[in-house]
Formats: sequence, C-alpha cells, structure tokens
Amino acid sequence: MNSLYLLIPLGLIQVAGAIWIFIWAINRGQYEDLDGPGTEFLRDEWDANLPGPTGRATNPPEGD
Amino acid sequence: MVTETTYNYRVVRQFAVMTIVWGVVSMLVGVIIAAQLAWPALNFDLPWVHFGRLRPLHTNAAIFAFGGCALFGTSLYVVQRTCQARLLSDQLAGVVFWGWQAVIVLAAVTFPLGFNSSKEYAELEWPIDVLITVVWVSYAALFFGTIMKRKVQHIYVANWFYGAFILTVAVLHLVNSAAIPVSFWKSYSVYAGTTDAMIQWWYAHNAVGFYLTAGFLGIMYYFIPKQAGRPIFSYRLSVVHFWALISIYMWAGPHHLHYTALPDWIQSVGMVFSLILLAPSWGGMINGIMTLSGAWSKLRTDPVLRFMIVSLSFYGMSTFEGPMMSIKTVNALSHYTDWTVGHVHSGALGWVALVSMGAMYSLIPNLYGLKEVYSKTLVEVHFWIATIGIVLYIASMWIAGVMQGLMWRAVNDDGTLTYSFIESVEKTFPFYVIRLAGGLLFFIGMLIMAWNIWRTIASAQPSRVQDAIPQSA
Amino acid sequence: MNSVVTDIAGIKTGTRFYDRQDIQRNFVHPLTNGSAEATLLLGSIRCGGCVNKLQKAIRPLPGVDRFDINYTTHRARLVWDAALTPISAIFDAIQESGFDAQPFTPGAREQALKKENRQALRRLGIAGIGSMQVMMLAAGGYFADGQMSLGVEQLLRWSSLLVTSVIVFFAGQHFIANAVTALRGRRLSMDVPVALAITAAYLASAFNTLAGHGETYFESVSMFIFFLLTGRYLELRARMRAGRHVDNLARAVPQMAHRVNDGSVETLRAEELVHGDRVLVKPGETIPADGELLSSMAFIDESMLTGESLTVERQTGQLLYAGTVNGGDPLEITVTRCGDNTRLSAIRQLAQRAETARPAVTTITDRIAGYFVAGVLLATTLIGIGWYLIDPARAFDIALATLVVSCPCALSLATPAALTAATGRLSEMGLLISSGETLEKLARVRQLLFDKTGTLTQGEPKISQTIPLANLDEQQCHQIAAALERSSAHPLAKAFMDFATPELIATEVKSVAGSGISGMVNGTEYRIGNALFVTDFAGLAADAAQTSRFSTNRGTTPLWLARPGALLGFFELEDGLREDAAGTVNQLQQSGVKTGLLSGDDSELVANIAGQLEITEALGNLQPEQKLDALHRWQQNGPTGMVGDGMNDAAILAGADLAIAMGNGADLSKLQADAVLLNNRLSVLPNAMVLAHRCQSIMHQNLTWALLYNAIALPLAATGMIRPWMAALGMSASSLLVVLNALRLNRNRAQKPAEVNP
Repeated sequence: MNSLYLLIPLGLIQVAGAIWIFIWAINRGQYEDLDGPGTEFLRDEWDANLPGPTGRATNPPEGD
Repeated sequence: MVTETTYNYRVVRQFAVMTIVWGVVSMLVGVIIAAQLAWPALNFDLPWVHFGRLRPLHTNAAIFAFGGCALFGTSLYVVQRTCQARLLSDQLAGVVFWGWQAVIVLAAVTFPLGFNSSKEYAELEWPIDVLITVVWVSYAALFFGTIMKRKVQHIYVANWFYGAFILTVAVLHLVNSAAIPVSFWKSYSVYAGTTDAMIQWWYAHNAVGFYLTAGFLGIMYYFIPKQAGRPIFSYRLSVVHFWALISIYMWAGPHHLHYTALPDWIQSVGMVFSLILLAPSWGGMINGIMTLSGAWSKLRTDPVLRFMIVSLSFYGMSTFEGPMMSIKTVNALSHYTDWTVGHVHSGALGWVALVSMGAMYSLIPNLYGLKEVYSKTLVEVHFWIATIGIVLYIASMWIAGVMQGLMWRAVNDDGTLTYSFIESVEKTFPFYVIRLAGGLLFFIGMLIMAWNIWRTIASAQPSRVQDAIPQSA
Repeated sequence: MNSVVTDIAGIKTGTRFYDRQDIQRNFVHPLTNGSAEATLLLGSIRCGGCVNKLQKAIRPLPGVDRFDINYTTHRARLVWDAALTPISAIFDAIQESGFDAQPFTPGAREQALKKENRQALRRLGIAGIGSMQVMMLAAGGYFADGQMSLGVEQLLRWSSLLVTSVIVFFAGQHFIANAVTALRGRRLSMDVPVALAITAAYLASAFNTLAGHGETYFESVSMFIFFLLTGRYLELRARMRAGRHVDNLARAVPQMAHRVNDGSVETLRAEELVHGDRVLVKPGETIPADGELLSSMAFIDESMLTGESLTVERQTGQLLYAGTVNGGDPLEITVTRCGDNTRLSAIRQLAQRAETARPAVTTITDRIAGYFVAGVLLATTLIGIGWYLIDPARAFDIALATLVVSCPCALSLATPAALTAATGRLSEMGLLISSGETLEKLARVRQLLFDKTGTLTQGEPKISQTIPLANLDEQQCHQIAAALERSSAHPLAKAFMDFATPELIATEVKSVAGSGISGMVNGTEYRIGNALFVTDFAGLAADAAQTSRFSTNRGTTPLWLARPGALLGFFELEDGLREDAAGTVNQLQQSGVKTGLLSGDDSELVANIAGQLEITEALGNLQPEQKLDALHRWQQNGPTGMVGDGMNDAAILAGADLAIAMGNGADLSKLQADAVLLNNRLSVLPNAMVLAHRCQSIMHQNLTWALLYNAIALPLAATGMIRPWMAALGMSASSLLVVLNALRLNRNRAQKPAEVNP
C-alpha cells in the first residue's frame, strides 16, 4: 500500500505538531482556569465594539 | 494598551452576505441535478448543464462556497471578539475574501466547461488549486496572527476548532491535490490506482472531520452559548472533546473503500476507528445540547436557537449513522447506494446547513446594528420548511438505498442476479421525486432566509454600521 | 468609643505603599521587555459580572498589557509597564470599581502543586495523543493476517517504535523514576512492577523491531501508560481540590496595614504590627491581625475562616480575626495577636499537620501492597520460567501479561483517593480535619458526648440578672467580676467584658477548671464561680448559696462572687442554645448515634437543656475528673466521641475516641482535637459522620475489587489466556474504576463559583 508510505509519516508529523501545540498550551497556562472562559465571553460589555446598540438577539445573558 | 476600539466587521459582513448568496446558488444547483436524476431529459443534451458537470458544481458550491463563507465569516468574527483584538491586517482580509470569491466564480465557470480533475470534492483543476493555496495561507496568517495579538490570555475553545480546521485542511489540500500540469486546465494527479484512492479518501474523510466537523463545531461553541445566553455545559469537556477528536480522526478514511481493491486490513482499521470516533463526536453534541439544560423553554420562543440545537441533533444522528455504515457488513449493503447520499445530506443539511443558518441569523443583525432579524416569524417558517425538507430527503434516500442494496445482491437459486441494474433504477424513481421535493423545500427555505436577511440589511441605518476604520483610544 | 478616621482622601494615598521597591520585591516580577508581571488577589468578587466589570475597568489603563482574572481562584494576572501607570493607580482603579485587591505571592505548596499539575497534564497529553496513533498502527497489524507487504509492515513497526519511544521517555519515565526512588529506599511500591512491565515490553518490542521480526507490544505499553496516568491525574485533581481551601486560608492575610498613631494613619507591612497597635481597616479590606473591635459596631465577612458567606455583626470589644473582611464602614481594632499567633495561623498549622500525618489505613495498605508486589514479581518469574520449559515461544508474552495484569495499582489507589475526596468535602462543609485518623474515627463512633457551654450553646452568655448580696452595688460587683474574668478564656467570661474598667486590675489570677476564678483586686482576694467553689472560700456552709432563692429561669447558669467571709453577689448568666442544636441531636439519634451531655454547670440547668434537646443522658455539676469517669463509662459500650470547646475540656477530649473542637475556642494552635468545626455549625456533624461512613464503605469496595480482580486475573494470565494488551487494558481499567469510585464522594458538593449569586 504505497499511499501509506506518505500518509503514515505525514500522520506522525501531524501528531508531533499536535503534541507540541498541546504542551505549548499547558506551558502558557491555557488550561489553568477552565471555569471562567465559558462564561466570560457572554457578557454584554464584551460587545463594546459592536456597531450600533449593544443589543443582541433575543436572549440577554443571564445572571447579570 | 488598546489603540483600536473597533473590530474589522467589514470582511465578516462580506462573507456573511455571500454565505446567503452561495447558499441559494448551491441549493438551486442541487435541485436542478436532483430533477435531472429523476428526469434525465432535463440534461437537454447540453454538455454545460449535464448532470456530470453540474454535480461537482453543486458539491463544491455547497461545501466551499456556502460552507466556506460561513466558516470564514464566523471565524474572523469569533477570533476578533474572543481575543479582543482587531484582525491582523485589513489588506489580508481583503485578499482572503476576494480571493475566495474568485475561487468560487472560477469553479462556477470551469465545471460546466468540463474541467475536472476527477477527484471527488477536489475536482478543481490545478490553477484554481494554486489560488486556493494562496488564499488559505493568507487566511491562516490572518487568523493566527490575530490570535497572537490577543489581549485575553485564554484562547477560547472555538478558536481551537477553527485553528485545527485551518491547519489540517491546508495539509489535506496540498497532499491530495498534488498534480502534474500538462496544460493550463489539465493536470494528472501524482497518485494512481488504489494509492490514489486511499489518498483521495484520506483527504475526503478528513475534510469531513476537520472542515465539516471541527470547523462548524467552532461555530457551535461560540454561537450556541451566545444565542442562549448561557455558558457551554462543560467547558472542560469541550477541551477534552477537542483533543480526543484531533487524536482519533486520522484513520477513519478507509471506510469509503470497503470491498474495493484496498487491502482488507486497511478497511478494517478504518472501520474500527470510525466506530471509536462516535465517542468524541457525541461528547461534543451533548456538550452543546446540554447548554440549554434548565432552560429548554428558550427553544419555544427562539427559532434561531432552535436551528442550532436541532442541528446538533442531526449531527448526533449522522455521527451515529456514519460509524454504523462503516461496519463492513452494513457497508456491503449500503456502498454505492443512495443511502450514502442520504447520510451525506443528513450531515450536510441537518448539521452544516442548519448550524450555519442559525449562526447567520444570530450574526447578521449584529453586524448591521440591529437587535434581531427583520421577521422572526419567517425564521420559524424557514425552520419548519427546512426540517421537513431534510426529513423527506433523508427518508427517501434511506428507503431507496436499502432497496437498491437488497435488489443488487438478490440472487436466484441458480446463482444469477434476480434484478437487472435498470430495474433498480426504475424502482428508485419515485424516491428521487420525493427527494427532489425535500430538496425543493429546503431551497425554498433558503430563499425565505435570503429575503429575510435582505430586508434586515435594508432596514439597517448606515450611521449605525461602522466600517473598518480604526480609532485610537 | 467611635474613633474612626474619616479622612477618606488620606486613606486613598495608602496604595502608594505598593510603589515601594521593597514591597514590590515580593510580588512583582520584571519581564524582559521592560514591563512587569504581578499577581493580585481580589476581594468582593461575587459573580461573573464582577469579573468582567473589573477587567473592563483595568485593561484600558495606559501601560496595561494584560489583566486576566481567574474565575475560580479570584486571582488576577497583571502585566503592565510601570513607567506609564504606577501599580498604586491600578490598585486605586480596582477600589474605585468597588473591589479590593492585595498582592499575592503563592505559597511554596501551591507553587509545587501547580507545577505538578502541569507536568501531569503534559505527560497525559503526550500519552493520550500518542497512544491513539499507536493503537491505530497496531490495529493494522492485528487485521493484517499476512496480507501486508513487508515494506508496509516495517513501516508500521518503526512508526510504532518512534511514537512509543516518545511516550515512554516523556510520559512513562515518570513511573520508572518513581520505581527507582522506591527501590533505593528499599521499598516495593506499586510503581515497581509498572516500571518493569513498561521497560520489559518496550525493550522487547524495540529489539524485535530492529531485528525485523517477532512480537511487538507497543500498543500495550502506550495504552498502559495512558490509562495509568489518567487515574493518577484524577487523584491529583482530587488532592488539589481538597487542599484549595487551606491554600486560600494561608493566603488570606494582607501585606498592608494602616496603623493609627495619634490621629495620623501610617501604612506599613502587616508583619510590622505589634500587640496593642491601633489599626484601621477600610471597607472591603482584609483585617491584618487578630484584635478587639474599638469601633461601636462592625460587619464582618468571616467566610475565609468559617465558610459562612453572610456578614456577622460585631460589637465593641469583641474579637475580630485576621483574614476576615470588613464588610461595612471603616473600623478600628486593637491588635491582640499578630503574625504567626493569629487564629488564621493556627488553623493553617492544624491543617498542615493533618496533611503530613498519614492515616493508619493507608500505611497498612502500602505495606500490604509491598508484599503483594514482591509476590507478583515472584509469581511472574516462576510463571515465566515454567512456560519457558513448556513452550518457549510464549513464555515472554505470558510473563508480561501476568506482570501487567497483576500489578497492584488499584490496591494502592484504593484508599488515598477516597480519603482525599472525603477530606476535601469535609473541609468544604466547615469541618477541618487535623489528624490523619479522623475519618476513620468519625465512621467508628456510635456515641457522641457534648459539652454544654460554647458547644451546644452559643457561648455568648449574657447577664440576665445581678443581685448584690453584701455591701457592693451592682456596678462594683460587675467591675470586680470583670477584673477577675478579664484574662479568662472561658466562654462565660465574655459576659463581663463590657464592665471592665482600667482602674480595677486583678492580680494573681488563678483559674480552677470546672469551678471558677480567684484573684486579688486592690489587696482583697475574691472568687467568682459556682456555688461550691465560692462557699468553700467564703467560709460559709454549702447551703448558704441556694440557687433556688434567686433563679427565675431554669435555663441559666448561676455565678457567685465572694470574698473571704461573705457572698458579694449573684449573677445569672443566660447562654442561648445554638439554633441547630436540637436538629443535630435529632438527626444523630435517628441515625443511631447515642448522645450525651457532660457539663460542669448546675445539674438542674443541664437537665433542663437535655430535656429540650432530647438527649438521652445528661450529667451536670461535674468536675473534670468526673467528666473523664463518665466518658470511660460510656466507652465501655463502644467508641465514644466528644464535642467540646477545646479549652476547658482538653483532658476529656484527649481521652475520647474522637475529639471535635468548636471553632470559637480561642487558642486553636494548642488544640489537640481530631477536627475543628470552623463554622460552629453543629448540623455539620451528622453529615460528616455519614460521609465518613461512605468513605469507609467506598474504601472497602475498592479494596475488595482490587483483590478480587487480581485473584481472577492472575490465573487467567498465567494460563496464557490473556494477551498483554488485554492485560494492560484490564489493569488500567481496574485502577480507573477505583479512582472514579472514590470520586463519588464529591457528589453534591458546593456550587461552582460561576453559579454563585451576587
């Protein structure tokens, strides 16, 4: 299966890349706080740079 | 220090509008070729509108034009917002947008003219492949460059999905489309035979995995919580989901090649890993749907949210159906039948299209300084028409597919085939008509959306629509 | 007594304190590009909206590059250029937004845990992503059945070798390193067979790959490492969660304090405070030392110490504690304890002590595991040799499978995971464990004795009646009594606090446990205490002090003041029952725990309270030795626990099978209890006992499963029915099961911070 001579090494390179990025993420503290990011981006204040009124569709975020 | 207080929404608006436009176009072509399958006379004996030339136009338009613009637009929007940073470069954004539109237009021209590399979902000839590469590199630079500029330390999970989509598709494209040009519109793939088949389906299935799945999951992870006003059910799960998906997806490709000349053992590997893939896929689905846990009533009042949540249900269905179909014994029945087409469209219409529509309904009003779309009622109507259309489509194709599979394998006592091929085609006819009806409904829904969006944009006040001019703090 | 400094503008300049170099040295780290990084601990964050509001306020400031608030820990990471904005301005901006901030230097323990977490995650990621690939490559081999071309086969083998090598060297070496350490210390820990299995399987596979033929076990090795690391990681997370509360305690003391010197306010390091300093605490600020409240009233947020999120009201003279937060107007205190002597310090020391002590059950399990491992290694060797004689080709395979499948990882994980989860849960509930055996004891005792004052009652006695009996008037009685009680730690002493005057000082004060206090005031010897103590001293007949003459309320404590020859006064002290006392006793009795009440106070009073609470057996008027006797009597019927205030019951607490001290006792650092009820909520006790039971049963389940699994798996492997990859899967699944079972103890735990309502 000649294709494998290409695809498997390619896959290994991709795995190496994935591992490298994973380690980068951990070293940079990307996964230190896994509770905040889920809610933070919902805040209306985040919409500060939206054109026009900061309204959004029908559901304003909860718990303001 | 923040020196710019606006984001580049111009390119997002451009892509969003074109998503709608190409949506209409791709579905129109889909309706045409569905009709042609039922009534071949509709080929009119004209090469330029022949099924063989229109079919790749439909698939490419749906995936790369409609889906592509949705991905480009939402990703450039999400990355700016979640990183609290403006796009790296407006010029680069322009290159990405106009370059991509050029790719689509060229496809629309070259396919009817018959220029086709014969690799499924990679039919575009080599000059356009080169253009795609240029656009893609610009896109990657734009996206990752914006992330590097971020003001927020944490990179929101949706960006991870988008990032994986961008990087993987680049590799897939370069590897699969490697070809030797012999004239301006003709090239030969560097691969041949089963080697080419393997690489082709490695490409195509990973495209499903990283383009149609990871990319749109990026959309889901941003727009569903945003529209629902609630955080994603478990952020931790979304991170685990991401890494699981990335690790496992590589080897599901061979399930497209069951019972072909591909060595048996590779087929088996493909089958096993397609089954394993079920777990991370459903993890993502559960994460998205459970975001509404405790607030299901929102589904009643918000049709936009409904688009998104129902899309996840179809996603779950497709990611269950897929592994089932990759089991060899099941595949022995389904391969080459219309069941495969049904499966594709449950994913394409049910997941990809619905989530894109939901995202566009959510996004476009914002981009024009409005609270919501022009008519919520029309969104409701669209939803129902679309869903009914999908159900008709899938159901008819399931029945047709199973019927075809059974008819093709039926043997008489003396070992001869019971049915001739044409007999199965005859029997399939009514299902092609039903499928056409389903597709037509879906297309009409798209038209309704287009009209609704047009009215929305038309009602926007220009003063409220900021353009891409940076302002200093 | 209101002497609050109201110069708000002057107070604001206090933040300039943080611009000082010597202060910044502790929490600011310069970065290479000219900016600097600091971590701040934020206060008054109640919800996600607060986080966003604050970030939005700070990020636009000139020079601020990053300001990210961690949602769970309420710490913010600030990266900024001090040339553009001094950090004091940032502190001001935080205050203007309505929040409070102080510099944060993570303690060594937390740094270590954070580092460990990162290392564990890195290993997990490498093992996870890598082993998926190895599995896919190996799957090819399984399905091949001779159809594979030689070239492709070699490709798969060498690729597997490559990826597995990465996994072994970057993730698996963790086990090998641990094993080497254990062996050096002459211990056979569970990492030893794991390391052996990994090394043997890897080397054999590598050798066969280089040789070009033969069996390889790459997928077994990879999966093995991955699943084991997953189990360990879950256990690490449980450990981190359990310790977080204590970590926060340790970091609660602020760096800065405002000392009031004759009307002017000086800002200095909290460490520089001394006893007697007058300290100003602004709204929202954390109190830097233990002290008496000088202001007329204050509202304090004691959640840091007790977990109670509602503010409590404190009056002049009452004690405020370091680490708690001023939830009202500016207040002033007189420092009574600072630095390492604060209550906060004591709690932290208690918690640290508990951490270092290992419960017996874990030590026993470790020892057993040691023998087990030796047994496994022996068995593997024998089985390997045996099969070599029978069928050499299969010998290595079977020996490897045996080694892998019988590794006692589940056994070693069976108890620690459960203990960690339970300890963390208890700490969240407000019960701070200070000894390694506490959980076991909590599960064992079926009888619980209570002290009265300060335990079942609030420990806030009030004088409900004062009757002068001789030539002193009411006020004089109060003042003398106050002088005597002034340095007493007994709960009853609080009732007299308000009456202390500077002119009357008691000397040669002696406190007799269970009886009263004697001392000299202005040359005369006085005694205050119960009837017997006083009549003896006054030289009067025992019946001279007849309570019934005066008491109108049976739920009170009588106290007498006397000097030689005369009874001077009678005080009636009322100390209300805790509101959850009745409910707790009820719950305990319903779950089959017998309750009793032992007190040095008047029998009638004690009987009255016992009746109210429906406690089965109650004894009053007990001297300490009598209390001990009563305890021993109870112990004849089974293990008995004691709940007291830790001060006056020290002896009996020491004798009980389980000693729980109420958190309102003054001197926690000298406490010898098994657990401290920080929030004084009696209702925690029945729940704690239930939790302890669940913990025990889960530990037993785990141990049973671990042993049963090995008993079944070992013969199966020895007879050649299990391939190494099945063994790897089975063993890892077994360990994972044990850890997940233990984590069940965390069900129903407190809400995540994101869901806390403003």
